[in-house]
Amino acid sequence: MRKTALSHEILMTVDKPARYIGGEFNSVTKDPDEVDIRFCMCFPDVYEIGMSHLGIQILYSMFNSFEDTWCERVYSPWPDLDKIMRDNNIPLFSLESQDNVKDFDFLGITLQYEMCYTNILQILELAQIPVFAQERNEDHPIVIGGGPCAYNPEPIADFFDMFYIGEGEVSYRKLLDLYKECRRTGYSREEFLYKASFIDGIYVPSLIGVEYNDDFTIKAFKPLKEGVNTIVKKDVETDLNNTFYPLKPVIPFIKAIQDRITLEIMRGCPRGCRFCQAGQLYRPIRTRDVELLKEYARTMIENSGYEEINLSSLSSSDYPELQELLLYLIDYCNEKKVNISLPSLRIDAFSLDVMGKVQDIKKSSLTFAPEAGSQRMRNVINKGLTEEQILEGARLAFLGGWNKVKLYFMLGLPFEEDEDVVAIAELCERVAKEYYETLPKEKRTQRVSITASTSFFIPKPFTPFQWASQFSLEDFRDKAYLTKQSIMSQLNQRSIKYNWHDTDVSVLEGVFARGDRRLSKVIYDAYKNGAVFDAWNDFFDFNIWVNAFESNGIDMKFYTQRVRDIDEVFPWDFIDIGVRKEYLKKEWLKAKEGKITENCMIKCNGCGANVYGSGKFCFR
Amino acid sequence: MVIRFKFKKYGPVVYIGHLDIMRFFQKAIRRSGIDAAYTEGFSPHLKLSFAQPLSVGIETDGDYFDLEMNTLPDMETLVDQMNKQCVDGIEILNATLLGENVSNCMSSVKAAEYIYVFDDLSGCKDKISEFFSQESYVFEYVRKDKVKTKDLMEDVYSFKILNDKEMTVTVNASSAGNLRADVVTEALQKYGVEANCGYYRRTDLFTMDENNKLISLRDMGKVY
Repeated sequence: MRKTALSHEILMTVDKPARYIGGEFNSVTKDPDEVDIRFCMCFPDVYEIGMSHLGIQILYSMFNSFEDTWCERVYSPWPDLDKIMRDNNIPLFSLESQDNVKDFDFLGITLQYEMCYTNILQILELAQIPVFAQERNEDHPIVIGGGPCAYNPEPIADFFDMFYIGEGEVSYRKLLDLYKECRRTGYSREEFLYKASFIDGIYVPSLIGVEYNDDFTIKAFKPLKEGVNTIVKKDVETDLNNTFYPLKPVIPFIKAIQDRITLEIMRGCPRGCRFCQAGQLYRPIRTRDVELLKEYARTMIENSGYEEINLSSLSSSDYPELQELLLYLIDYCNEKKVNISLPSLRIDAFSLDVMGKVQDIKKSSLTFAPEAGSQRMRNVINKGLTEEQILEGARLAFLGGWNKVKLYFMLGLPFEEDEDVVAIAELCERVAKEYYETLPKEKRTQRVSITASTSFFIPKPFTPFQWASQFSLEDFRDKAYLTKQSIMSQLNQRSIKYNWHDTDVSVLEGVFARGDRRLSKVIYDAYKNGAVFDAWNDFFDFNIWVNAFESNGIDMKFYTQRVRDIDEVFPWDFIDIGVRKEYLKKEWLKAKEGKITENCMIKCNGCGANVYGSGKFCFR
Repeated sequence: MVIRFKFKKYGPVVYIGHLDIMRFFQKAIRRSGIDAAYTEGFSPHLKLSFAQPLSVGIETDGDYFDLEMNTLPDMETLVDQMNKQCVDGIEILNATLLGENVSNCMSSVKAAEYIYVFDDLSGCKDKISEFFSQESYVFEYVRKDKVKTKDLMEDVYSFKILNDKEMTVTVNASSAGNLRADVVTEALQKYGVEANCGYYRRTDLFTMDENNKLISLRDMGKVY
C-alpha cells in the first residue's frame, strides 16, 4: 500500500488533504532503484492551480517516458499545512513517492506569473534546501526554473542554479545525459553547471556577471568563467507533430481550476499585439496537424474520462483548419457526451454557429477583447480590430439570441489620454445601442447585459512596450475612476457593469517583470517578513513589499515609471528569443506614431524568429 | 436496467471527500467504455446514485453506487473492466444486476455495520454487553460546534464481540437518523469502557425488507 508523508492526524486537520496524497489516475510510479534520475517538478502555487497547467503535464509525460528518469510533482502547501510542517520539522515531499524533495537530483520550478516568486522561497525553505543557490552543495538538488517568467529570470536569479529558457521538449534529454555523465565521472556540482551552460537554452546565473552603470542601468554582461557565452538562446520545438504530448494526463481527485482536457492546437500568434509578451516569446508560429489533433482528442477522451475538452492556443481563430477540427469535435464529442469549451474566437457567422451548437445561448456570454476603447489606441497597441468589426460581431450575436456580452480592456497603455479612457465607456454604450437597434421590441426577451473589465497594463520584456513607462498607482486609480464615471454617464449605463483589477499587485508585477538581480534580496526580505501567496488577494500585503524595498534602498519607480533610453541595455538582453531587439525598437517607434503593422499571415515583417527554420507563415 | 457496484476504499485515498469520490467514479465509468445512460441536455450526466457518504479518513469494505445502463455489459468481466480504471486503494468488489423495482441505494440504505479494533477488549466484554443491552441511553455529544442529543439505543441495531480486539456494531444509516460511527466509541468511553479503540472501518451497508430484516445492499439481485 502507498504511504503518506503526513500522519493521519495531520491529514485530518488540514483543508483538502487530497492535495497531498498523490496516487491520482495516470500518475506514474517507478522503482527508485531502477532509475538514475529523480526529478521533482513544482508549480509554486496550490495544487488545484498547479494541476491545471498543461506545461507540467507535457514535461511529466516526457520525463517519465525516459526509462532512466522518474518525474514526480510537488505544489505549494497551503498556509495551514505550511505551519504544521514548520512546527513539526516535516520536510517537503513529492506526491508520488512521498519522499523528501531535498533528496531528488533535480527540482524544476515553473514560473508562470511574477506573483508566485515568494512561493518559490516557501518551497525551498520547506524542502530544507538552501534558498540561495550559492549556499547549496553536492547533497542538494539542482534547482532549475522555466516557463514564461524565465525570460526575465534576473529578479530571482540568486535562488536558482540554472534556468531553462524555451520549450522543455527540446534539450532536457541532453541535460540529463550530461548530469549522469558528470555523476559517473565524479564531476562536482560546479563543473556540471559549467558544462550545462553550453547546452542551448540553459542559463546558469552564477556564470554570467552583471556590470552596472552608476544609475543602476546595465553596463554589460561578463562571462565569469572561460568560454561562457553571454548570449543564451531560446530553445524551440520546431515540429509540434513529432514531440511529446500528455495523452495520459494525470487526473486529480479534487477539482482543479481546469477540470478538462487541454488540446494544444498551435503555439505562437500571428497578430503581433504590441503589449503581448506571449505573442513574441512563442514565435515562430507552429501548428499541429489537424488529423493528429483529432487522434489526440479521441485518445485523451478515452484515457481521462473528462467531461469537457478545451482547445488551447493564443489565437485559435487563426488556426488554419479550425473549422474542420471543430466540426469533427462537435460530432465526436456529442457521441461521447463530452462538452467542448471554446476558446475566445473572433465573432463571425461560423463561430456563432459553433457556439450555438455547443453551449446554451441563454446562459452563455460572448467575449470581445478590444483591449482599448478608441481606434487610435487600438492602432497604438496594434490590435487589429475595428469598431465596425466589434459592432458587427455584436449585431450577429444579438440576432443569434445572445444578450450577454463581455468586453475586456486595458487601462494605462502607453500614450493613453483621458479621451481614450472615456472611449471605453462609449464603446460599451454603442454595443448596448446596437442591441436595441438590432432587435425589435418584441424580440428582446431580457435586457442586454454588458460587462466591461479593465486590467492595468504592465510593460513586459521582449515586447515593443518594454521601453514604456508604467503609469503610477495614483494614475491607475484615476483611470479606473474615470472609466467608472464615464460608464455611469452613458444612456444605457444600467445595462453596463464595470469591474477592475487591483492596483497594488499591478505595480509589483510591473517591478518584477522588468526587474534586475538586485531584487532577489528584496524578495527574500519580503518573504521573511511574511509575504507568500501574493497572487491571492486574501494574502497579498502591499505594505510588506513597500517596507522591503525601503529597507533595501530600492525605488520601485526605477523599474516601473522610469523613462528608458532607446539604447538602454535591459537585464534580459542576454537572452535571444529569435525576435530581434531592432525589430521591437521599430515597433515601439511605430506605436508612438499610431501606425499599425500587418500580421504574419498577410505579410512577413522580418521579426527574426524564422531563424529557427520553422514557422507556419515564415516560409512561403 | 441498473447495476449496483460494491467497492472498498483503503489507504491514502480515504482523505478524498465524498463528492470527489463521486467524480472519480464518473470518470472511471466513462473511461471503461461501458454503455451507461446519460441525462439529456447541454451537459449530459451519468445516472448515478451513491449510498451513504462516508466521513473523510475512514476506510470501508462495503460502499455502493448504482449506475443506470443503456445496454448490459458482460457481467462476468465487468468488475475487472472497472478495476482497470481504478487506483491503488479503490477497488470494485462486485456488481449486482438489480432486480426490477429495487429502489436506488441512496434511498434504500437503512443501516451500516462497522468494525472497531481495540487495543485489548478482554477486560471489558461484560461492560460492553451491559452497555448495549440497555433499553435507552441518551447521549450528548458535540459535532461541528453543535451539541447533539441522541438516544443511542434507538439507532444501534446489533453488536457482536468477535475476539479480544474486535467488535462489530450495526447502526442506523438512514437519511433520517444516521448514526456516526465515532459517536459509538465516544459513548462507550463515557459509559466507562476503558479499552482504547484506535481504528474502525465500515464493513457493509444494508437495506430493510418488509419484515424489518437487514439485507446487504449487495444482495438485491444477481451478484457477479
